[in-house]
Amino acid sequence: MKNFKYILRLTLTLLLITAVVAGLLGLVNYLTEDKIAALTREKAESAMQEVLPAQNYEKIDHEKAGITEAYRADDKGYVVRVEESGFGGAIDMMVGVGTDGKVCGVSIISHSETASLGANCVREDFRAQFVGKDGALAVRKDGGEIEALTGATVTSRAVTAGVSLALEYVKEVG
Amino acid sequence: MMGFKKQLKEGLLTNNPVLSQLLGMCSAMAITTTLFNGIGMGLSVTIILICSNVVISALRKIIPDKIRIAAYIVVIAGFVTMVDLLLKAFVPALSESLGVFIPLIVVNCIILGRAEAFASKHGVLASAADGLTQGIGYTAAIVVMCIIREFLGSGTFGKGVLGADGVRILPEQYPALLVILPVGGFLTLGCLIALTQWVNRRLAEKEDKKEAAK
Amino acid sequence: MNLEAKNLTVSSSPHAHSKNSTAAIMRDVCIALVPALIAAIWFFGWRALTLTLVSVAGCVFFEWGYRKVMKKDCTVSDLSAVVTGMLIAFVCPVSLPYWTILIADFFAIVLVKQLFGGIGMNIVNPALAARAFLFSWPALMSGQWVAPGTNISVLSPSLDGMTTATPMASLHVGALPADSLFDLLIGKVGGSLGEVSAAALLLGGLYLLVRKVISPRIPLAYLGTVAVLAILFPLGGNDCVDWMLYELLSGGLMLGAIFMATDYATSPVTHLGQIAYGVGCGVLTILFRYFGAYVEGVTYAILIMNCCIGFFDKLGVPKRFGFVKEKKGGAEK
Repeated sequence: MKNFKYILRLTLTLLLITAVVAGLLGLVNYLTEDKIAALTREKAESAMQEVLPAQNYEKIDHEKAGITEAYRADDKGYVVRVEESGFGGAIDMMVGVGTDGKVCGVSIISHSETASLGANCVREDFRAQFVGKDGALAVRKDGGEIEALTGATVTSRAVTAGVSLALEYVKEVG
Repeated sequence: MMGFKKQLKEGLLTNNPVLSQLLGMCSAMAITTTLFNGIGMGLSVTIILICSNVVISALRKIIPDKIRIAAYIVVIAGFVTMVDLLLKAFVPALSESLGVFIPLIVVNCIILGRAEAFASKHGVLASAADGLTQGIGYTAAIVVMCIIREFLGSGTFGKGVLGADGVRILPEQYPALLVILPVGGFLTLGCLIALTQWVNRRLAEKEDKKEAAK
Repeated sequence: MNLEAKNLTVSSSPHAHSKNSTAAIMRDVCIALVPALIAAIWFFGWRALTLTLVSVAGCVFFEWGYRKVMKKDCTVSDLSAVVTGMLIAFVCPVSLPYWTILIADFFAIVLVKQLFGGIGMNIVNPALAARAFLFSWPALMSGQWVAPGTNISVLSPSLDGMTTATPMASLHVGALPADSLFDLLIGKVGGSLGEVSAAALLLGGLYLLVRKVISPRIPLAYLGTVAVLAILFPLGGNDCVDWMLYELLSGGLMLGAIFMATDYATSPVTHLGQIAYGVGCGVLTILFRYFGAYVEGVTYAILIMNCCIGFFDKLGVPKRFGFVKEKKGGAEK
């Protein structure tokens, strides 16, 4: 019986601590939830505006692996959000594809590539290479025409694959 | 007050969490590539350390010995998650730059180490002071690493703090890329630990001489 | 600080005395490196010589400076810094700026060698560690290769319009290089300063063998493993013998196998250990060459094996004279 009491005490103490912490966490979450959601939305929206400016983005349901979100941008084309694994983790990017089936913009939303090497994939001159391209893309090393970033072939390949995937998807729906 | 001064000296040098106790080295090597990261991470850890130390010290008589580690981890994880959410909401740039290393503070040995070694045995005020001084020690160590690695690896000072690209000191073709890669983290930390040991030994010798003179 | 004095223990007799001093061995290595240096000067011009001299001067200076600052006895006269300096220059493109090679010298001598206790105490080969560190500047290290026969300026090399692809670059994508095997043998190809001429390196290796500075075990095990693996698994459907010869003669393999993998401080001492170490280097080199991100893998193969010599030294330890295997429940020591 004494043993039972002891175990009960252990359990209750831990339960109490956990409950208090959970309550506090709920409070903080309540306070920050909207703000975080707004920030995430804002970021995605500004990325969409960057790759294909439009008034309205209409969400499309899809089932293609690797594509997280897809939108129809007015009647100007599609905006596709792709996740591709790079060198240091997932690369989250937004690809704009015009009605002619060509890329009109690429934006990197988040990545965890190596600073100064793979992280250069956010640079304008690298992303600009994709504009106006269509079909299956590849970096120069693999026989394509995308100039890879110095010392970051894996990252360049990942971004190229992501853009190709978006193009493929738009071809299927459009 | 005398106690606090001694604690501060311990936190900064003789018992520095990173350079003498060799705790929390993962984050110290992983995120110390820009000054912005260092200050952000240092402040986050300091705040969490003070909070968890205070709470654990206050609860030290209530928490049964058998489940103390579980209880500590729950408290620490709670604070870390709060800081994580707050950073995401109010300092998104820092949260993005530190990425997974904020949630990973949960398993940062400094926090659990201080809870176990200090807060569970001392009063609330002393534990708060310990959290503060150990936090300052951690921050100082990683800020020094940040400054060295950012200077040698990117050629800049204060990236993210003084403008997005900081102040350029070395022209762009000179910085050694490897220093901001993981290799550079090991090299820099190794050299800093060696330097700290050397300073500590000098300090100990001085103390010995003082004792002998008495 | 007083570690050296404390650990001075003398084993019981018999003691074998050798006339070989460190300086004599290092002098032989320097001499063995001269043919490759001459080949480099022949193909790349005088900058090959000036770069080597700057590197040697840098290494000697840092060695002297470190020992002076740390108040230790001067070890410059053992010539090991000279060898390191030459080898660092040999693993760099001839177009590398002088400031870069001086940083590499500092890294090799101070961080890799002296901080671990100086000659014989370093864990990895200083010259190769320096090469790994030099990839801090990927554009300078592997961006452009000077075509052999172009005389580039000693002072400021500008590389426009006289660059070439190295044989390794085409091997990496599974194609035989455009250079002939004879060009590879004499070194009329693009590549690092001292690695291009396989013939000159083999000549140096032969000299070291004759002088008994190195044993053939490590180089043969290393080159043999690469040859066997290349014959068994040629890339791109190429003829296996052609492929094997190109793999052997291209890149830094000869330089690595003869001069780097045989470094006393960073290779095993037992015979069996040396062979296993050579085989390990060969396997890793082929793996890095076939599947790695960089085109060449000799550097990383040897560096990784350097870190494992504690294990290899346990292989084939000779039995002590008079040693009887302990029986179960036998007498205590």
